[in-house]
Amino acid sequence: MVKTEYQEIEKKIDEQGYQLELLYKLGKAFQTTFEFEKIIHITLVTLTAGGALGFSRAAIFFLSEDGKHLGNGYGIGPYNQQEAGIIWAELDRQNCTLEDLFKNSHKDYLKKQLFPQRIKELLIEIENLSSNSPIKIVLEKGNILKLDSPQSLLLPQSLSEIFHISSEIIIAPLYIKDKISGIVITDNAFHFKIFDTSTINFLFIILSHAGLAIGYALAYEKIKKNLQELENLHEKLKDTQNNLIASERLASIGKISAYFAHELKNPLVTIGGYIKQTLETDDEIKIKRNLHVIKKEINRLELLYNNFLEFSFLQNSKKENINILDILEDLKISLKLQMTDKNIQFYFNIPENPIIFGDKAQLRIVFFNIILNSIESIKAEGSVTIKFSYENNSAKIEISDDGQGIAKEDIDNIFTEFFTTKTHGIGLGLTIVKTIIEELHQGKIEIYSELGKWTKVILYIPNNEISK
Amino acid sequence: MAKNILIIEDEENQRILYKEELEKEGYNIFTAEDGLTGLEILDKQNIHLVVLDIRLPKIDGLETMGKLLGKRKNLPVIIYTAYPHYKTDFISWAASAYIPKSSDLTELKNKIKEIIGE
Repeated sequence: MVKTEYQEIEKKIDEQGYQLELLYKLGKAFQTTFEFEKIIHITLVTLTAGGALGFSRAAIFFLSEDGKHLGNGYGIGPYNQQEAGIIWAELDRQNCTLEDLFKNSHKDYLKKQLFPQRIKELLIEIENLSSNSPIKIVLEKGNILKLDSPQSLLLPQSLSEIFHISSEIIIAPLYIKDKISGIVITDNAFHFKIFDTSTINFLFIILSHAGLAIGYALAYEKIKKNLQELENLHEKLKDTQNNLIASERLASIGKISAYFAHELKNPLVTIGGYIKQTLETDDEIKIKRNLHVIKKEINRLELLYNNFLEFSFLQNSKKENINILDILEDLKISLKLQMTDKNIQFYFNIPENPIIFGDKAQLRIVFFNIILNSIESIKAEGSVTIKFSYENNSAKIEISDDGQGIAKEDIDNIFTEFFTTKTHGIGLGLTIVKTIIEELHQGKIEIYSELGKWTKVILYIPNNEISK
Repeated sequence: MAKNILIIEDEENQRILYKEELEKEGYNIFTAEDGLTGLEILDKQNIHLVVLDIRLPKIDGLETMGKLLGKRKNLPVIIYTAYPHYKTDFISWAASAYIPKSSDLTELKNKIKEIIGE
């Protein structure tokens, strides 16, 4: 008698030890994932593995969002005696640990076994359940029900078909965040072990853990979805922004093309007018003067044409490491044409190998326009200084002159298209410069000036692509 | 007595050409390179007609015209510009004529004759 009691206690301690170990492993496994399906799989494996708890099969169903259906079912276990033999023999042979089983994918079970398939197909309409339906009672009261085989007939036919072969069936609520969100059905098919109170309590503990983990998984999924949506939105925003920039630039190109077309007219009518007058006069002085005007206007046409070409240049860009001295030396020659009657000294304060990462043709336009502005601002005599250095991952180029400077009220307008203070300017030079530096090179341009004294233009061109 | 014409035009070469060509027709010519200078001349001289460009530095031609007509309600103004699209600007309708710039000044000369005579 004493011995039996002792054995009884020893068995209980063994059981509880096993349950504690199971719980520990379950907790550990839950910590490894935020995946909804994985958590359900781990829960089902814990319930059915090894047979120590006596659950031969287990299924989880979820309530639909509107609460009208039970479905989205997951199940583990054999469907019939024959499958039970195969599955359990296979598990024995493989000598799998619980952790090994956790790692399996539920999809593999779905492919191979009948029980998970049948569970997945199930859809129970809550409305059609009778008031004494065990499922309805569990969903409404929130307690765990134990049914025997005849009572299984109270289940919807689709379920009783699967579970009537067991002598004991347990239906338990699944709480997610204090709300009954589904049910778990488990049974003792094929080995008919009787469920005692401690097993049912243990089931309750496992399901509370599972509910918590599923709640986290759902929250995680929701956050992930929101994040994805946010990312999509961000992508969309970026696309829209790019489109906007593209169409803005297109509009700007259209505007500029129209502007050029009209701007061609002024020099043309002037040339035509002077030619007409020249043809009608014999006055040698006038003829000479007129020819001079015509020549000047043709120069202007040329400049206009070049500006237009430069503008179309912006459409394609090819960036590479370039030596700024190559551009400047080349420009000194073409700028000489603009310096007639002026005595201008150039000073280069440039270290060896001054490399910028950019489009050579475009940067040539930038320097040409800025230096041309400097030259034009110098009345008769002066100097233009170009300084090069690296600052915060950018090439910093300073172009300063001691010309007439820019009035304070004009500085704000300086980058506006078609804004000009010159009688012969077309007001596009600095617009192009700004486009090239800021949009096409992701750089920065700053202009400082004191009217009547000096102007300084500072360019920053990011050099992150330069390999030194 | 010769009629006085004010030409407001920022392009120096065009200013000179118009002056010479219109002087040949017997008019007395005043020139201004921007609207504000033109308005000053209007105050001092007995101007019979204004030839006005639109694209001008400081204040543009349309604004200038508003100010000119503000000073002298019935002053004839001929808008003479390379830009045909200003014609759709209703302010330009207040002008006596809107002529697109051309290397041939005949149309301008004829219009002036039509408005103020020889």
